Amino acid sequence: MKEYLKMAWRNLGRNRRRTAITTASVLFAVFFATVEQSFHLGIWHNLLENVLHSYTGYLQIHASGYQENKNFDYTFPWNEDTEKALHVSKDIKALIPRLESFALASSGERTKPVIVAGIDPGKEYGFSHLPEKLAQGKMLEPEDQGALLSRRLAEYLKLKVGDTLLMISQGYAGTSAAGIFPVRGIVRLPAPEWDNQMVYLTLPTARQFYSAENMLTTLVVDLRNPSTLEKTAGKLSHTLGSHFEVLTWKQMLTELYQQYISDVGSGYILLGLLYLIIGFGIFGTLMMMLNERRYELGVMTAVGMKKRKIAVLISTEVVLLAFLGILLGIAAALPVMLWFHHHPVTLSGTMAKTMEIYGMEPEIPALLEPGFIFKQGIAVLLLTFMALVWPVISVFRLSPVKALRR
Amino acid sequence: MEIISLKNLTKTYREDSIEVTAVSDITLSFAEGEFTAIVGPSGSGKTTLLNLIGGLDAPTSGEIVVNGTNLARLSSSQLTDFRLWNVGFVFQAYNLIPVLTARENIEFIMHLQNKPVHERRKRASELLQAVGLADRAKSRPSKLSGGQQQRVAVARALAPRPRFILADEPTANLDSHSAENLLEMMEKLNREENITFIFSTHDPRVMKKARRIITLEDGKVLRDEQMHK
Ligand SMILES: Nc1ncnc2c1ncn2[C@@H]1O[C@H](COP(=O)(O)OP(=O)(O)O)[C@@H](O)[C@H]1O
Ligand SMILES: [Mg+2]
Repeated sequence: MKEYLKMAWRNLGRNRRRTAITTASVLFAVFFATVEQSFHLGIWHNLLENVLHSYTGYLQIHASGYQENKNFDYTFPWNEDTEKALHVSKDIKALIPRLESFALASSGERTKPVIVAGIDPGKEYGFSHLPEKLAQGKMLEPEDQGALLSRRLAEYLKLKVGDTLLMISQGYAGTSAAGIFPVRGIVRLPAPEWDNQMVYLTLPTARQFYSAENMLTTLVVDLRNPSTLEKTAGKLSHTLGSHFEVLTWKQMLTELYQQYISDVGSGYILLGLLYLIIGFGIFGTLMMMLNERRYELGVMTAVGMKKRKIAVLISTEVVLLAFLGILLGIAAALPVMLWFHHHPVTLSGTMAKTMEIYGMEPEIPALLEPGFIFKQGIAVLLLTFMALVWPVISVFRLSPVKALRR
Repeated sequence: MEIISLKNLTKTYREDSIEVTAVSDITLSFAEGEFTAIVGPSGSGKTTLLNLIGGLDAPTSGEIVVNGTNLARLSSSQLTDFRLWNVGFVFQAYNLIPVLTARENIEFIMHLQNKPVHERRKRASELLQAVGLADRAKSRPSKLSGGQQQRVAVARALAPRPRFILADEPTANLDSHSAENLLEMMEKLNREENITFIFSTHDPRVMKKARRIITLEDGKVLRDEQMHK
């Protein structure tokens, strides 16, 4: 192989201009693709981090069937021991327990159906951005008997900090639930559908209200790194067995996921086109190279070099060329990505406003992740192998007698 | 001792439905140690005949037996190996791999044979010495004169210690002085090392050096003469 590498390298030096042009085209494609992906995925990474860390999380555990029918038939008991047993993977950063249900909230004349989230304040605040959204009053204490209201709901019910909220609902096992809760604080939630109907209680208070001692409906799994999502989901699902459902945000927030897919997909179509052009470029270079060297390849066959070895030589040349382009492309893209990773592009105009409404910083940090950078390299190598198919066939079909008659 | 035997050898090419019989019913044999010229005008079938003997082309009919091996029995990959181990080829021009130096060109053949490095080194040095180019070992073909390139080609052809060397108009692109030099070198190798040479030419001065001259015309053997010196 050393011999082939040497020959391949020198052959690339024969037509420096063509080698440079082909390498440059691969370089450009890899550079463009990597930087494009870095921003494209960076936008989504940023968006998902914000959206998912406001409530849903990347991953949730429920009793099997809860996602379909959100009621108390699908709760599960929970304590510290079972929690410890669930730390199956070091990719799990924290487990955030919740008891979620519905209730009818009222105050004075006004009544409204609401979502009640029983939370563990310490764990919840460590996971979500909730404390940053406090508009009035204070957050719930661990053993708090009071409630935290979303802003629009508070406005609708005409409640202020210190007032009392009345809620009635159906509790665990068909019991009826009723309770009064002093309003401790008001939070401004970014998404209107949440801001219209959220009531936070502490977990003990919620359990008491619903007579659901020890029960949970939801366990949010916080990950150290979102890229381990599918892996961790698989592990958890395996550990927990069929009594539980382990759902990723893709299954819970299906609309958002559809948007994600179609947006990222359109990016791939663009890249696909770009790579197709590069693939044809490599193919063209190869065919020219073969044509110019027909006589030489004829001599090589005549003196006893097997076609297979000639094919290896030609392939080595092109793969070397592709590698050169890939490495240079990544080398060129890295500083750009690094810069924009640390100095995010700041948006202005409507886009920025929309993002601010959703509680996000209006900036796009470039995503720096070995995974997709690596994929660009693999894509170019695959293309190179595809571009090699026909040239290799024509090497095998080369007749030395014809090649030598010039 | 007979090393090559051709029986009723015919090769017909078909190009755009026109049939050309390049070699027509040739029966010949060659012995070890020969120094033979194949002569004849352009298009008389010299190249085709040499290609057939060397296992580079397959006959339309007839038989080629080299060192007791009937070439018709070999697959195309076996023929490649046959050429690698038994035949030394020298063509009219551009014999060498341009990206390899003179020494590397010679070693390349032995590399294909998986010979160990030290053996390759040693043999390449010997051969460069033998063709008088020890001082040009590190030159690429483009830095060598036509005559020097042909000498390296002969050295490369000799590298695997083949039974014979087939040279197709090796002097055609050389000036008369270089041509003479090349022929003298080949003759010396033939005399001192008993290497069999079969070469084609239409240069009378080259012909003169041969000990046997086979004249072709329209793919047939017109004359087969032993020259007595
Ligand atoms: N590959 C080929 N295809 C078609 N015709 C060929 C081919 N090779 C040789 N010929 C024809 O066969 C004849 C003999 O050619 P060749 O052996 O090259 O003669 P020489 O070497 O004596 O000039 C010529 O008429 C030539 O055109
Ligand atoms: Mg000829």
